Amino acid sequence: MHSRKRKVGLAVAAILVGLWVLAPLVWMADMTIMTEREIHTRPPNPVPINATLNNYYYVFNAAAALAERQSEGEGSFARSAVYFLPQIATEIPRALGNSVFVALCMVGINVIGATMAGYSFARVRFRGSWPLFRFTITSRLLPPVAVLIPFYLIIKSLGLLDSLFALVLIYSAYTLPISIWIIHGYLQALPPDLEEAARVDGYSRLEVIFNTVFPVMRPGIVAIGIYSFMLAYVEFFFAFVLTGTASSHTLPVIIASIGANPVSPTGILMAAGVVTMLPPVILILVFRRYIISGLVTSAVK
Amino acid sequence: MVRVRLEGVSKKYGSFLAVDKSSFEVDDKEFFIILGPSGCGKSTTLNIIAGLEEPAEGKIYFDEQVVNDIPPEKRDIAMVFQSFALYPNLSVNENIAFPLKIRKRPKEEVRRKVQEAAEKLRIAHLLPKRPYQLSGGERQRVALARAIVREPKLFLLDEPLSNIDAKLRVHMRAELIALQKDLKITTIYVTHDQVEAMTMADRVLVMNQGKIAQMGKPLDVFRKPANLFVAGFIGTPPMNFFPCTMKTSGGKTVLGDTYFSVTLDPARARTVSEKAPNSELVLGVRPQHLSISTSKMDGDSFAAEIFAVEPLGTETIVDIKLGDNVYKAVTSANFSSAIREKVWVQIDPNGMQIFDKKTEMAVA
Ligand SMILES: Nc1ncnc2c1ncn2[C@@H]1O[C@H](COP(=O)(O)OP(=O)(O)O)[C@@H](O)[C@H]1O
Ligand SMILES: [Mg+2]
Repeated sequence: MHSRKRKVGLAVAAILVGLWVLAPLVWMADMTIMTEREIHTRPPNPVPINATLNNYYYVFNAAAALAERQSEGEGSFARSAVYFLPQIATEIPRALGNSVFVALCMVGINVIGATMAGYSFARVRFRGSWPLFRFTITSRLLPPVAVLIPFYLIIKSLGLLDSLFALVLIYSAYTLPISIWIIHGYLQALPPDLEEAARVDGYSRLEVIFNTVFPVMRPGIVAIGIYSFMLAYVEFFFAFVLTGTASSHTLPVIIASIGANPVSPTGILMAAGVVTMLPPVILILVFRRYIISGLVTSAVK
Repeated sequence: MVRVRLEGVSKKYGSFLAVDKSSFEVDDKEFFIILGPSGCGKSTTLNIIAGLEEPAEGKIYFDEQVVNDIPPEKRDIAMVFQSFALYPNLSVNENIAFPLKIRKRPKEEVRRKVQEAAEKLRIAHLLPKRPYQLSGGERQRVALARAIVREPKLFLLDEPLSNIDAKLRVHMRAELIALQKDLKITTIYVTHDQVEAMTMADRVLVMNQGKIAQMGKPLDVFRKPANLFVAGFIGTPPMNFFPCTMKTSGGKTVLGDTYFSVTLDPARARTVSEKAPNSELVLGVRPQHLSISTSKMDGDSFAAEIFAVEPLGTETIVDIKLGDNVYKAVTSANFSSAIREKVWVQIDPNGMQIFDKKTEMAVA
């Protein structure tokens, strides 16, 4: 009886939290299929009458939206779905590509670099390993503002301003310490017995790393992959300062610029938001098995 | 199928000496046990023999060959770990087949050998399962099967029984002995459990703080401990130690202090005075060699007070208080007495071990 009450209570709490998290997202998705006029109707009408995918079309083809606005003439607020759409909106498709590219670079660099470094710090005894490890980790504790100007000057003197490569460099410096730390902690919790067993069973040191350690710590590797993807994908501060043109603008920069307009077309902004969410959502769906197993089970008991 | 010899092997972790100039030899087909308290360097020694750790100095021989520079995968050894170290992402079958697969043996041979090993350890029905579905005892058998499947020339076992429950442990002791005698493979076995060492070993090496404390046949080590550490470590309940000095008066030599005295036979008294003249001594007596009575006994006996009584069913352990010290005596199961009662204690002269208090070494 007691435990039943408890279960019901837990279920109610879970539903409330779920609503709390999901409601804004659902509302956002809802607005993407409304016309601008419907969005601004008072009181709001949750189920759109003339559902349309136009907003998504405009996200990928802002030029069309701008042209439409011109043809409709200024001032026709209610009918126009593209009221005050800034010119920079035309960069959305390219920025999406840039963002995904940089984020995937981060996944590659972190999965390979941090796994190697984390393994070395956790398992290989060499002179200075501990100070080096601590230096690596603490370097991440500097607040971004503190290093922004030095980073800017370094990137500028390297001639890398307004390039995706600059972002990859900076994000590497920001994600690798945490990733190395995660892998290091993961390996510390993993008894070395398994690797030693594989050694005496016949693997060389490198074979042990690739055939024994990596499979066992796959959840940890997936974790740093997703972490680094997310960090790079949503990063605004450095991207805003270091990028200048469409060739290196990332999504957060574009979205912020559009949103910074005094009046913006809500429907298109919401559609851009949904499109922005898609890559990370796909990533998490693909790897959700490992995320869950990484969270709830330890690999070795 | 191999003799293992260590010559002056040391291992340092930073400035901490985990193994200190260890030299010993393990005979072909021998069941050799390294015994010592936790942290004394047993695993480190075993890992050095396996090649998993590099010694700071010293040489390791397999037969006449120096193996220091041979990596573990080329030493033809098999190892069982305290944690069993089964590969969590492989089935039991794949775990046992692992060492053979790495060596690219033909499929048919792998299948047959895995089956044989599994049958020998009675785990054939577990082959399709995964390690996390097994109990501790079953995991331990899988780890053993993986070790024997390849017929290596040397077995290294690191506390293989310490993670399974007490009843199964007693059973596995007998099985391991039978398995080793059957396979005739040189075995080095590490444990902190002196009962395992006593019951299983052909020879035992007792380690303390990285050093070899004593080496020999289990019964010899039990009967003639070389020093206070070994005397106190082997045997349950542990040996009693009476601090004492030796005095001679009227042609009679006695060992004793304020609370007790025992006569020493002349030959023994001579040895003691030669090896440890004027030294403070420690008299070691196993609880089995102390007898207790409520009335005064013939010969040397001394008074003490009952401190506690621990009946075990087959025997009773009586704790007696002498001055500020408490000693243990093993008596028959029907001994009964009240706490604080005065009793008489007698030491069996054949059960006396005499140590030099300062050097801690046995003198007679
Ligand atoms: N990797 C290591 N780094 C530092 N100290 C270690 C390491 N491995 C073992 N030691 C120390 O060496 C000593 C012996 O360890 P070990 O051989 O594992 O003991 P045991 O006899 O319990 O198997 C212990 O005091 C332990 O703390
Ligand atoms: Mg150990």
